[in-house]
Amino acid sequence: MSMSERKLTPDLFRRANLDANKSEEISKPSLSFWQDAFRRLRKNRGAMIGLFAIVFVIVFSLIAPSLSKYGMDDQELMRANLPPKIPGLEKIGFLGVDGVDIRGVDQYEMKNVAKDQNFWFGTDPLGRDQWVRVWKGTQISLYIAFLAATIDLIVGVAYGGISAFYGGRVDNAMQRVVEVLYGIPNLVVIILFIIILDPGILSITLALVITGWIGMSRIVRAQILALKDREFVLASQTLGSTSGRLITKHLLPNTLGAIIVTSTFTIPGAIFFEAFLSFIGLGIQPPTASLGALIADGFRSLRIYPHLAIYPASIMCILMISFNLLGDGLRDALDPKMRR
Amino acid sequence: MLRYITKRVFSMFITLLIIATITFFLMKLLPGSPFNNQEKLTETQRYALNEKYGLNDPVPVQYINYLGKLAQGDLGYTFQFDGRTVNSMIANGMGPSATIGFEALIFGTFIGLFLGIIAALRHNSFVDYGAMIVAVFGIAIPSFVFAGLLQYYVGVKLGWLPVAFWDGPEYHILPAFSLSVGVIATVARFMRTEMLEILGTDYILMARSKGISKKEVIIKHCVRNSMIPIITILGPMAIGLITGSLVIENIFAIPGIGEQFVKSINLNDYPVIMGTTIFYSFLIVVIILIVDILYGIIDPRIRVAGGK
Amino acid sequence: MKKSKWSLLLTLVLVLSMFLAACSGGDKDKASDSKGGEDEKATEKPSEPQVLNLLDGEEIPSMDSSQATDSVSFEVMNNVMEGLYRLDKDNKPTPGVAEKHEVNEDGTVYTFKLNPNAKWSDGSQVVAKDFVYAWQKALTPDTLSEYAYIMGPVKNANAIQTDGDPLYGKVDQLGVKAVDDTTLEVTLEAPAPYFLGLTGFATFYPQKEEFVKKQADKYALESNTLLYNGPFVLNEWKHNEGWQYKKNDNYWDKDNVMLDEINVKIVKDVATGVNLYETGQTDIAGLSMEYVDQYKDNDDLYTRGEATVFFLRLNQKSEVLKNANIRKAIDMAYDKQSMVDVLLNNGSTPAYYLVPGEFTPGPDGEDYRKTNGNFGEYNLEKAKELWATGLKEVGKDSVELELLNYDSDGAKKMGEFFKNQLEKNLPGIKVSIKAQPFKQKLDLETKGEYDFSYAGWGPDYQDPMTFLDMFVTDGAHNQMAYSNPEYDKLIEGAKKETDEKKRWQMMLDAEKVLFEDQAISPLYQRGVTGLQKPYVKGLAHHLFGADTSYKWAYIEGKQ
Repeated sequence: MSMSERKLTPDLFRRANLDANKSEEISKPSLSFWQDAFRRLRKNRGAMIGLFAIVFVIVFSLIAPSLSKYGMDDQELMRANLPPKIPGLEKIGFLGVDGVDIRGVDQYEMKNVAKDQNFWFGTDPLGRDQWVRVWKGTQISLYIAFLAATIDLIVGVAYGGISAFYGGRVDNAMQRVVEVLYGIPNLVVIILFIIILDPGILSITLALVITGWIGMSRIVRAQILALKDREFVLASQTLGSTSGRLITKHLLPNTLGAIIVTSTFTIPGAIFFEAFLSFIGLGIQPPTASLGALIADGFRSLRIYPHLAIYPASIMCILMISFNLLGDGLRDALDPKMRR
Repeated sequence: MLRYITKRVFSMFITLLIIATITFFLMKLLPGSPFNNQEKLTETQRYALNEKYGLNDPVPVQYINYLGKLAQGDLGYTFQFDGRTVNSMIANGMGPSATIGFEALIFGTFIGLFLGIIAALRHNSFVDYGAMIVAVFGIAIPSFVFAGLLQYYVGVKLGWLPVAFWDGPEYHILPAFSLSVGVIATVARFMRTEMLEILGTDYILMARSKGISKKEVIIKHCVRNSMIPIITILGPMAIGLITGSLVIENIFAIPGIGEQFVKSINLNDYPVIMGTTIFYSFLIVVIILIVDILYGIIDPRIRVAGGK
Repeated sequence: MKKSKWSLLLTLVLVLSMFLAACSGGDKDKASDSKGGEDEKATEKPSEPQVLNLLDGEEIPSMDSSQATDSVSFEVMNNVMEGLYRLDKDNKPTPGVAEKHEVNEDGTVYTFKLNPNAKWSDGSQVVAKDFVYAWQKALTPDTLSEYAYIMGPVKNANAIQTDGDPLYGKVDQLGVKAVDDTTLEVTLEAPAPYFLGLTGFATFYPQKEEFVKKQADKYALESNTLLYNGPFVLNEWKHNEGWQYKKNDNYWDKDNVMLDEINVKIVKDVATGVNLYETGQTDIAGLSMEYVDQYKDNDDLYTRGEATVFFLRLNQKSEVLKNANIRKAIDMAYDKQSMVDVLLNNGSTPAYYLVPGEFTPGPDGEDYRKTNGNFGEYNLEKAKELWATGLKEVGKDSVELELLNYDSDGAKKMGEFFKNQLEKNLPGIKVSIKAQPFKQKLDLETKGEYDFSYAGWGPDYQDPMTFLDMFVTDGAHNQMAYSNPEYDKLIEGAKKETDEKKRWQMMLDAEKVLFEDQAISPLYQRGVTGLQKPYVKGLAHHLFGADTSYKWAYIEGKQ
């Protein structure tokens, strides 16, 4: 092979046609902060799985109870403690949904349950359909958690925001209050609160909120304190913005990321704490049940009737993991430092 | 620094006073009185018992008396046990509760740091995912479920460790481990995030380009600097352990404070409820103070001035 | 500067790691030590070690016999103390400090001859004035003894306790006299056939005045500030952790005491107890309903009937429950048998009565329960009928009632069951459940602020009266505004009656009256269930006062 020499001639070059107007144009589509965040969130596989699982559990907890003909409190002692049985999946041994209990007895046969009656998650000691109870319980746990997170958010953001925005003496006074509240063991307050108010969905939620907002308020305060001295705020102020405009247009949107992330962690925290309360007997009062109450109840008979604890525990596990994955993902997505 | 500490100690006592007050009045809101219930008590005796414990006095008088005694460190007598003081009950229960709390904190922090560091160094590898799965499970399983399973499988099935009770060091392992699961998870996740952030900073790149070995950079710069924020979460975590030990104490039959506390609520044992609350609060404010001071010492950027 | 900070942290870490290392190191040492110890013991002493290991759910609230009110205190005291008589395995009085006794003709004066060999654990003799002192102490108003009322049968005891009575506080007027060191004379208000059994009750135990006064406010707070005169002594008492009994070498009947040592640990969680049982660290473990199915086929499982009866208090302060038809309808509208079989699952039996079965035989030797038979049944049709009539009578077509409940897990399940059954079977009823901690619940009951409540009653002495006198008009434990003059008359009469047969008949009639009115809706007579190793023998269980005596217990066949 011979090397042919190649000569560079002027006619090989062409003048680039530079349009002076075009230099100002942005070739990539412009992305708002939120679009960008969402794009990054979508790339995070863990967070997307988490988000999907949460949506799935929520939707399913709303639909599932209606798939059974029994209600939350339909008791029948004659069919107590039945193991799970799902027609169609009976043959698959390792799923353990063939109506045979841990001792190898077909309880459906022994207790003369009608052939067409199948309890997908089994029944509890009062003969109630565990399927309905688990999903209703999920609803209640989620309800408590979202309510607690929402109230946390409102109180925390307002408190932290006011404290930081007005600063000075206001801030000082408000922070002393927080210091006192922070010093009270929250478990103690929650227990006392529930005893005084009678355990119920609302009192449990309020008890969770009573100390829960402090974390949120601290984060919001720190963020706003940092933002307050930034140039763009100063600029807006010099241009004559009112406090209201400053807060709604500049300060809050910039703290929103931190707020959302904190909220995603508040929710699993609340679910968890409610479970703990159930364990020490201060949770939701029967016949309503939350996931935590079902687990605490079923856990005692784990070795003999494992189905009572395993299903609610799995759902709780899925929820906790999903919220944490989503929270992590959101933090990565919303944190401007991660924006590269 | 000294001025800062004095100021903090002063505000600490104000905090405690307020807490004592709140607890006292909350207590008065609780339905029932400690003696309305003894099934076989006559009217006269009930009155006399209330008199003995000063429960017939007007509430403000009771309050003043209570604060007076509190100032002398006297938390009063329990109603549950004959002639025993709340101080002695707390003193008895403190040891075990504090011990497992402390062991769990130390153990959990070390394991958590280790998991967090290796996860960050092997970012997006199986090591990372594995460590994080362990961490996530730590926060996804309620401690009573975890402790119960551990007790059954390790204690009964395998027979490796004692099922319950409070005796030699081998009795500490299961409860301390059950309690530390939350700590491991929190610390590992926190450490990982911090490490990742610091690994990406310019000064690490700078140190590397100056020819400092990777090992040295990681140990001297990354780990050290990532550990600073960990100190801030140690405080709240220690508090969580003190109260979280309640369930663990119950399951492992450990004679700690937490169990006594829940029982005294059910029995309307006001002196024990108030005494324990104030004691817990005292611990918490002291822990917060120590953490803040430690933080000030370790991180030069946070100097006393702001004090936040 | 910078260096010092880090050295501080480093030292901290070092200290901690040393601490941890020490932990694990000590761990091994300890394990091998204890194993060696056990082996040695086995070779030294070929006969079986007489050691019993037990669990208890609570710390001992009191060791002062005049203060104790609860079953844990009663049980411990029953084993480390002794009254004039104690209950044997068949719940019959058997000599304790008293060797024998004589009763006068009308059955009101008991003369006890004390055993000169009965000793306190410091070696001194238990004398008659120790009883006089303890009994008077219990009745002294300053002592605030909750159980003082149990001395009621003794002459003047009630007057001494009643504020405003001329005898109030005058304990020297109590019908008990120390004739000499070994003779104690007790005068009763009226004949009480159950009095002998009552002398085994904690409040009737002796106390040595000299010792009590010397210890002052430390008395009975620790194991070494207490004198014992029972089969065992408290060797160790770790508050909130457990206690240990050791055989009492000064006990007069020590030859019949076989156990050398009983270790009791406090465990509150049932699952933990079961796990400890499986690993052999306890010889007996109580079970709650969830575990019964698991051990159903296990030979170690025991069930035992108790004399405690649970029932629904129907508060007649409530307009609706004032109607007898409605009360009757409620009693018939739920299935007691399946409640007991499925929900309780612990050897309890459905109750259609107030006075428990197999508790008190009458003068004719026949059980009270057998003579009086059952009241009420599960009958849905009749319940609905009565319910409809009742509703018409009160002029309502729907009612809302509040069920006051305990807050234990088992009780909550029961509450759910009642709610469901009543709402299903009685059209127009709506039940709301209020679960409260024990103290708060009792408080609400005392104030009468409830509609109906899940309650229980255990006997204090072996006589139907301990149940029956609860419901006299305005009685302290009536708590449900029940009042029937006929009932009051029968109870009052029975308390004064000297003829045993007539007295018995009055008590039989009283229960009938109570159920004609359907004042309560009885639920079940409680049973207990648990696991017990087959080598534990000779435990004596009692129906009232203390639950168990270990005096005659022994270990056989463990090795």
